[in-house]
Amino acid sequence: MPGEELHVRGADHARRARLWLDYTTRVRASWLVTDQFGGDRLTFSWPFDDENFSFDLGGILRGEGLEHQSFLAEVKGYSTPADQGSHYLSYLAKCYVALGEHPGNAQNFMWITWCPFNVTSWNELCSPAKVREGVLHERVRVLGTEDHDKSETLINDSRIKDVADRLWLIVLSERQEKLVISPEELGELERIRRRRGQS
Amino acid sequence: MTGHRVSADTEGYAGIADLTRSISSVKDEVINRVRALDARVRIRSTDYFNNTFVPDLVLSWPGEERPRELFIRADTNPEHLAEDIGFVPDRQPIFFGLGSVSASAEHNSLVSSEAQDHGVLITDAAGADEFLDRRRQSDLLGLASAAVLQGGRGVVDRGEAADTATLFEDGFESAKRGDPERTASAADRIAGVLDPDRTDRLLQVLQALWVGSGQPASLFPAAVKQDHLDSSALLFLLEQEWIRDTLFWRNLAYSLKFDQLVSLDLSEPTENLQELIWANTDRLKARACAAVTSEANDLPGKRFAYFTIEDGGLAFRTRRALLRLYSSADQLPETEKSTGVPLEHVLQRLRLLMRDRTPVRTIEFVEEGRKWTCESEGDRDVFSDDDFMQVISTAGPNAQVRRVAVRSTEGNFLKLNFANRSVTGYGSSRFEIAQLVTLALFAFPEFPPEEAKTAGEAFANMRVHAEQVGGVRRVVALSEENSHEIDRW
Repeated sequence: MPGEELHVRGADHARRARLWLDYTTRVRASWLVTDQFGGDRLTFSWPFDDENFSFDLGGILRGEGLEHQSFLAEVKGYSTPADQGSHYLSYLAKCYVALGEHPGNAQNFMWITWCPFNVTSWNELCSPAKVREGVLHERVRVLGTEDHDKSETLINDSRIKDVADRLWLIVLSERQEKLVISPEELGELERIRRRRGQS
Repeated sequence: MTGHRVSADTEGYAGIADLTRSISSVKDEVINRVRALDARVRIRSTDYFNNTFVPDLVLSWPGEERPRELFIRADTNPEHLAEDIGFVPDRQPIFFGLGSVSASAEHNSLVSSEAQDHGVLITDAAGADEFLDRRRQSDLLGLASAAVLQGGRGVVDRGEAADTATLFEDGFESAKRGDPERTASAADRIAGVLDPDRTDRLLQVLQALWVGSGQPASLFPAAVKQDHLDSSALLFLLEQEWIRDTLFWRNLAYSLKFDQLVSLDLSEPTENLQELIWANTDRLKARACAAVTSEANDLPGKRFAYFTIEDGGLAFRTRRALLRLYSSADQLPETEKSTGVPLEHVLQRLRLLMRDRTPVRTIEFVEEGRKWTCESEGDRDVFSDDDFMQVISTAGPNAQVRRVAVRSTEGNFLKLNFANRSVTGYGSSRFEIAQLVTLALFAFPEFPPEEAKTAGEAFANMRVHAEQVGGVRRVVALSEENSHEIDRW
């Protein structure tokens, strides 16, 4: 798929992911990296690289257990597993950096995809070991060294665990996107909340 | 994967606080712009930001039943905005873009037609600022910006805002001049910018200005539900920010009736209500006026007197007087009737009336159980009647005046009732509110004479000003009582 088309498709899926999250009624505020508010707030710096990286989507959650917690999301609109496994490792490294750089904006990390990947080790994808693997995968940009053993000594274990604790894996499908409350009923819900002074 | 195991540490809270502050700052900017467009709007900010389904702000207006939701849109891609409209069906909200809502013509035509079809207004800071710039040049454009905020539809970027402002200016000016072609063109385009309710109100305003220009309502070149300003349109106007344009209010109220005005449910005395009444004190006619003994009144602003709509009538309040004007004598409040006012006090006040060129036709007073009624003939006033003066000179200190009849400037007779402090006409006669107010202030001794003098001068000055800006176009009122009615108190 040509780069530009891939980019458009990615932006489209980021928007669809954001919409689905809004449908859950558990999102108070959200923004895309492509919009007027999100760009700066979703962009971070690699510690040992001049290039920046960004997440696709971010915001603030609401409701029991999530009230006023921030989230950052990477969205993959893939129809096959493709190279998600490799991208996922980079993503984990980005989460590690984001948590160090701006912990307030990084209370939840969501990987939202339209196709599962690494299915044989699916239950390990949110483990501290996987996060460590991700950081080592990007060790030059995160830790500033090619040396694997030296990298191991530079990794902050506490932060690795924190990242693992904050990881979400969400798999969507086109049909699941339709299996949501209707906009009319959401509007009604909002009017009830407003009458109760809850929004 | 569900569940959450994060313990929010101090650093985390600080981060969220930063995000929350950024969101509040963006919302405050939008709120400030909305308020600048319409100072009377009430704004409630929700806990949400840039959500697909829940608005950021809820706007409401005094007298308007339906609030309007405002969604801040961080993504102003026209295709996305068009899609977003489908997620808020039947809610006719405002989408306020953080970026420019202008884009390629192809995309914009799609989102424009979607917004128009679904009653959604899509605008941005540049569009709002253009309206603000234009309204600084004309108070009347406040009407346009408020109408657009309440019921505007379509994409209003800077260019469209400029076109819309010009459209409203053209509409007002053409209707004021009675120009059929330009008025028709403006009316036609207004329907494309506003929802049906707001369109009808604005067209009623144009029609009222059209009638004020001397053209008959039947020739107004656009379809309007009725041939006069209805209460909803009038309330809309009165609730707007201060429109300091005497000619506008003068033309607008050409066919406005006192009864319609006092039936309005206006929650507070707006400046526009003052403008409307002061520009039309000769046209607004009431049947009865009650003087209420008044403590010192606390008046808003710097005017020496304020009108308010209260209890089905019009209240006129100065710092030291309160008068109530009604459409019918039946509305006069029940009061404890007194035996009257000492003749000597009344005579002092009636001499003031004489100086104000209001001839006194009849005086009725009682003394020692006897009732005296002195009535002059023709245009003479009783003070020129030697017999009357002789009767007066024999009256003792206990003589109490109950009623006095005076001739109005239009030749009708007015009854001053000193027992219940009221001024009424005969039969179905109506009187200019300026005349009723001034007469009551002059006649009833509980009011300082200076109040009457100040009010009389203010009404006279305002009338001169109104006639200067609008040209003299008096409606001649026919005398409605028979000459013998004066005999029936």
